Amino acid sequence: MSAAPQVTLESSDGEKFKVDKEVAERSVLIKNMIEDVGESDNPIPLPNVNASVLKKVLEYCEHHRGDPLPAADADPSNDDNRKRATEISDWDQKFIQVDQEMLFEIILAANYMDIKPLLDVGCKTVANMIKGKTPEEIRKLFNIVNDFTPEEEAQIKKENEWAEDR
Amino acid sequence: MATTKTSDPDETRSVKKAQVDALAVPELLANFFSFATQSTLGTCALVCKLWSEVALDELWKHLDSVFPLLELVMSLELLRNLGLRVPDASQILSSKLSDADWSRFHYYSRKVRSISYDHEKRYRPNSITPAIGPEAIAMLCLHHPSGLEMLPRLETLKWSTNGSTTPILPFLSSRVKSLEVELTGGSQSVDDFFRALAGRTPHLTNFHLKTLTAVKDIEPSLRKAIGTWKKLETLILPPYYLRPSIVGLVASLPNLKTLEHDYTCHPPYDEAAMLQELPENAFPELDSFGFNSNPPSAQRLALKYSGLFTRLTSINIDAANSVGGEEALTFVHHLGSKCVQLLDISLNFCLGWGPQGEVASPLSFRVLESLFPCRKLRMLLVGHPHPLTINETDVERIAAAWPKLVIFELCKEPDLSLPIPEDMGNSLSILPTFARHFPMMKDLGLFFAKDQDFSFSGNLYPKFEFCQLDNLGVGVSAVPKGRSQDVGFLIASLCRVEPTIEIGTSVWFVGPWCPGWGEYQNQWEEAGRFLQFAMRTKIASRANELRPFA
Repeated sequence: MSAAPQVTLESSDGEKFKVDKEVAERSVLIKNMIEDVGESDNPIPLPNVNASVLKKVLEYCEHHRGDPLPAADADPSNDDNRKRATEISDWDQKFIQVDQEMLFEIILAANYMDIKPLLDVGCKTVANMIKGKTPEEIRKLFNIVNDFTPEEEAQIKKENEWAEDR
Repeated sequence: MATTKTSDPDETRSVKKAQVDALAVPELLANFFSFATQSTLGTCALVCKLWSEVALDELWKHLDSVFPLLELVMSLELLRNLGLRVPDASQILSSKLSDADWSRFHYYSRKVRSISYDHEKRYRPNSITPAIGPEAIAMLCLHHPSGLEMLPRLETLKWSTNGSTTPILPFLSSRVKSLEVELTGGSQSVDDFFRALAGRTPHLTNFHLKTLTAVKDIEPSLRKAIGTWKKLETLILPPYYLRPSIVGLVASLPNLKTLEHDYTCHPPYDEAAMLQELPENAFPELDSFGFNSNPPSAQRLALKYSGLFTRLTSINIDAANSVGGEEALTFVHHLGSKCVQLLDISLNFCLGWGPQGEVASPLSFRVLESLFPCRKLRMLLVGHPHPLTINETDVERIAAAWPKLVIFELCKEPDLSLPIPEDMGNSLSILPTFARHFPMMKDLGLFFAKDQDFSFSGNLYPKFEFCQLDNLGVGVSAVPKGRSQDVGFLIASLCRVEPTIEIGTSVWFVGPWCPGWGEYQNQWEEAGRFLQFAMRTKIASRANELRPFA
């Protein structure tokens, strides 16, 4: 095995992870950091990500290390991309089977570290959790307080009734 | 891999914090909602105020109807009444609309980025669609406090009408970038539309017109409108609109990438013959070009503007007459030798008129061979009145020549009024060969022989499969007699995901001339049901395989 270039990442709680540069660069944040600072032996600090989450995120990056990078200029408002596929591949599905708290940790980390495909997997999972539930069930699921008056809620319901059977 | 749960209270708290944090970031919420259906978005809008704002932004961003907007200020009943008694409607409306109505309307209307209206489409299944849609909008405009600008952030408009074009105008603000209109309400209304359009949409980048109105009836107003679009990237016009006076207007545009004609049934016409007088350095950025032509004049055009044609990545030619084998070969040979950058090629060597007076000679495999130098080819569509049959060796050669080919349709809709022998056409046994050499194929279209003996091993899990075949076009093929079950199962065995079997004609109008056509359709639908059944079996057993042994 030839020595692939490696980088060290440091989690918020001080744990260090040595990984192949190619794996770490699935994160656009890290890729840009390496480009800006140049290669060095100093660990790259990730003050927003703790060790257990970073381990999980790196597991994802490792599995997807060879994937083509998503096009940077993909315009999300483009009509063609509008109906976004909600399917999740088998591996990703198993990967994301974690408790709810960890799911949101991963989403925040993917958002912070700018790993678009992982963020999408997380977001699709949340979208699937919401699907088919009533507003009250959703509030319960995520501990959300209803700040609408009954009148306000009824008004919004009426104005958006057309979406119900779609 | 399971995550370890910790009992450390500090960590638990910080973890719960993640959920609260994530759900408070509007950008992340928007990302969740981008994967939700419209009905889920409607539900999310009721959860709390923050969710409501973000979910409604997403829900109202793209509307496929004008009725959600109209219903904000008018009841369906009123809309229906408006349809019946138009003279009084204006009065009813003005007496009904309050400031609160308008502020509600503004709250939603500023969210809309794209909207489409189709006069033939029902607003809701199972409800009586008021026929009044567009007229009500026109009326609404009259009372709208800020005049004509109904949807201040609209960028994309798609409109299909067989009536007046007046209701379209209030939507056309200077922000609109993409406009697709189908206007079948008579040439006066089309002419009115273009008169009103001139100067209104200076930032338009895409324009697509469908109409049966002859170009001569609207040429001055159309020219005036097109002349104001300096940022145009895509221009798609009806057939026979690509005449020098119109093409000349866009020939020097710096951003024009696509110039196409929209194919509909029309009498034959040779646009290429009329385009021979373009300026020297016409179309500096064009990469996608489509027109009606006969091969000799297309070839003259290609020779004359060789710089342009060498650059093209997409070409789409609809013949102005049925093209014989030799004539087609000469032209295709030219394409293959000069236009090697091509990614997408569509050549329709027949007409959309059903039976032709003059019968052209069949194509040969050499037509495909001549295009082999186009190594990057992704899509090849060929249409001809005669079927073209290929064998396993041919498929292997195609695969070697075009490793990136994912869309391939070959003469799937021959003219069945011609004397085509029943054993003429492809064998279904060719499909496994395609699956083996083209696992990434998305769309495959072939004509299959009516009388053939293909074999299906019964194995639903062969070694080679199509990983992502969406569409299997069978054109005007029949199902071999009594074999719909085998056909359905054979196709299922070769596919990882269930494809659509596309029956009949997409572009040409062949079906109605074909004796026994209804019967063919029934047979394919039956094969489709077997396909569905077999796919379910297959997917269920795959899921079992994947289930972890816990």
